[in-house]
Amino acid sequence: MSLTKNTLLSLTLGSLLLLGLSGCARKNEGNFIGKERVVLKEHKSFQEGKFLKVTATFENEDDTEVEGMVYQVQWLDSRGIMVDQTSWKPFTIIGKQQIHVVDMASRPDVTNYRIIISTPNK
Amino acid sequence: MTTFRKLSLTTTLVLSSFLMSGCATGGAGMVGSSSNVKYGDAKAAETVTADFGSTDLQSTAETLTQSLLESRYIAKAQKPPKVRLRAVNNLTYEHIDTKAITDKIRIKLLKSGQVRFLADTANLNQVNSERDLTTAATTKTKMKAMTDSDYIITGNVRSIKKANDDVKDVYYNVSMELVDPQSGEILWADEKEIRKVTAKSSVGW
Repeated sequence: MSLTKNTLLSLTLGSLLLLGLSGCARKNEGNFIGKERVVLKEHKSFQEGKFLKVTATFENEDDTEVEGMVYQVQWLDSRGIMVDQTSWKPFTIIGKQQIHVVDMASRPDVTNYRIIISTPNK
Repeated sequence: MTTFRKLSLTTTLVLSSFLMSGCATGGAGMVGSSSNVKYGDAKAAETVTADFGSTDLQSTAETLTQSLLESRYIAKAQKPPKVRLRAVNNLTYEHIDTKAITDKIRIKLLKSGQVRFLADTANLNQVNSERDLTTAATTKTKMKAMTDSDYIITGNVRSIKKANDDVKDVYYNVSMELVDPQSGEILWADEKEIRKVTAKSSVGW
């Protein structure tokens, strides 16, 4: 009786933990390293043959500052494990300008992505 | 009493290991961590000089691999085509290891599972000497013929450099093409352009 109770309790706790963890998982979101001086305006993905393709738009909302920064796309498989990543790609964006970037995974097991933007210290 | 002695011995061991680790320079698994040498991100954007660098190599390989995987000769192929990498010519004034570019592209294409590769022409001597050691060669029976390539990949790296007293501008163009060796037809070609500007007065970053 006590054993069943304990099993039920651990099962419930385990399920709650799993739910909590899945709630923490961030899907398809931009992450910023440093100050957020450029906005990730929009991003979407679609399947190009066997590979996942991502388009993203960055915008410099400031109309005077010229910003130089780098971004990276991390490629995740269905389990959320990072299986590949692009190099940090530099770009310069003038005031009020939008920049569109396209990246494609080169592995068929990629199902999700994460965009990371890093800004230099000023 | 025995339990107490065991407990005190364990405590002593744990405490001494803590103290020992505190004294060790660099900590476990590290040597010379107080020196000026540090490991960095291998994929970081590098702007030490305007010469062709690791970021250019990585971004070129990524762009051209993506483009090649999208081409219908790879994407729509019934089965993965067999490709041989030929030389990529360095037509710039600086030393660029073009084999590093093609090797990186090959790794990415192999991981995609969409392409099969035949041994490079540069490594064919090794393949031939291994063939000489096979049973077929030593027993003088009929050798298996080498496989034909469906496509070959070639390319060029070019650069244009201009400078005045204030600014140095370098433009790199890496172009590659996929050729059918039977017909000689160019089936796919793409390029990666890179511009690097070095200003004496620091503007931006």
